[in-house]
Amino acid sequence: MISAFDIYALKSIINSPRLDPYKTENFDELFPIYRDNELEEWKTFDGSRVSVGNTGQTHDRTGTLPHYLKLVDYEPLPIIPNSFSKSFKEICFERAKEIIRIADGRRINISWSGGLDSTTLLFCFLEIGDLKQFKVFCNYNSIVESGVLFDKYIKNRLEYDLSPPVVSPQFGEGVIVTGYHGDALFPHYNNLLFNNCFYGPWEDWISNKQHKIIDPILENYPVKITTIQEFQSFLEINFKWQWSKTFKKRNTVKSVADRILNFYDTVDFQIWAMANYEPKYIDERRNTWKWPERELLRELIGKCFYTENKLIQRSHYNVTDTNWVMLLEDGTNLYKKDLL
Amino acid sequence: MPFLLIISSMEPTLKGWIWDIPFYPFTNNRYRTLRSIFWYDSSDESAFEYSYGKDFQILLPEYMIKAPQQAIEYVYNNKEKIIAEKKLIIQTDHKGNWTLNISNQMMEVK
Repeated sequence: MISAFDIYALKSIINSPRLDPYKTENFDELFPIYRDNELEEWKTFDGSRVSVGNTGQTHDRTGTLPHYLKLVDYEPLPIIPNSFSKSFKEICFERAKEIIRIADGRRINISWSGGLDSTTLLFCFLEIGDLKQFKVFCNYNSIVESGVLFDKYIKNRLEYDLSPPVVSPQFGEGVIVTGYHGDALFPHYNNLLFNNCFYGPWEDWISNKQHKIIDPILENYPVKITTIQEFQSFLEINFKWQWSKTFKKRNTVKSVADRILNFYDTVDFQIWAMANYEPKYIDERRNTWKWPERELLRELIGKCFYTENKLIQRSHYNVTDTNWVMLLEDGTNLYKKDLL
Repeated sequence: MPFLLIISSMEPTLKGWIWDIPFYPFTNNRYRTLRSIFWYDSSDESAFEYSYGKDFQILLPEYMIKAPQQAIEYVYNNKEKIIAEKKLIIQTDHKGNWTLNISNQMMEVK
């Protein structure tokens, strides 16, 4: 539900004439669809910020439902090839090699939360790269979340920066690699478990009202959706991809944002995720989620408490300026103070 | 027990008390409450077993908290009450300084 405060703040922004240049031609028609169907999150946990534009999570990549604001260009959905034989492991190593190539000798700063996504990419780099090229950025949450991994594999091997929590690290020169899009490759775990609907048809998941919005979009989605798990995967790849793509770039100086590379942001990862080439989990046990990442880690560091027992949980917290509104097409940021 | 920060090849990186502080809510002047305090040893997998899967939020080694010893002791002696009453006692700034602000008045009420 949207609180009275949020509605007031939302109206202030939406009705601000200064937002006009950022509205699409069909704003008046489109905005109520997003609002009435709660297609975007209108507030953050503390209730202090109203979500407008790409703070929300709905960017239909099929192009069936346009957004009401002129946002950063959407990345089109990939075309699913007739044959695709790459495993998750192969794609990971190809991506690691690609980033090493892009870095071209510069430092590769790895934003490591201690979660499965960033830990997997970290060990892929360590397997094939020159250790002197890497610097790990983490905080105390990363260490507690990953058990002995920091002490065993990072502390005495790699340069690192142990930042205090809730402070954006100063990455310095070089490229910055995040674990983003890792979550988008897998169906949203909490939605499946907490609603006791791990198995079941997707049609039961949403309301009749939402069906009117979602059904035409699914008709344009290149993969047939049957189960709730597949539907959750569709939500991640279709709607949240742009959100995830821009998350770390928000409220960040452009010169830094331009150096950010999301490790799992490739066409091959998307195809892998959309067409379900490998199991993404074994069953509803939380320690089987993101199964391909666990298997790869087992291969790289051996079976350990982390690979066998790591639970899916919120991996890190981000501090976002509560005045931030949206990322503009030119890569700069729009703030509430610019609008009110 | 004082927090020990040890970064050497032989010793664990983290060994000591860690404070778990909620991300939300926080006040305009960036005060937060306390959720829990727990012991952690990063060289010990069984410590990980104790902590993993918990909904920790902002984890802070105790040595990073700026506070007079008396205030720290007050928190330990009144931990349950402070947590239950969600007292806004921990303040941070954009540079990552964390300060425990326990007023004399609060300690006297004890």
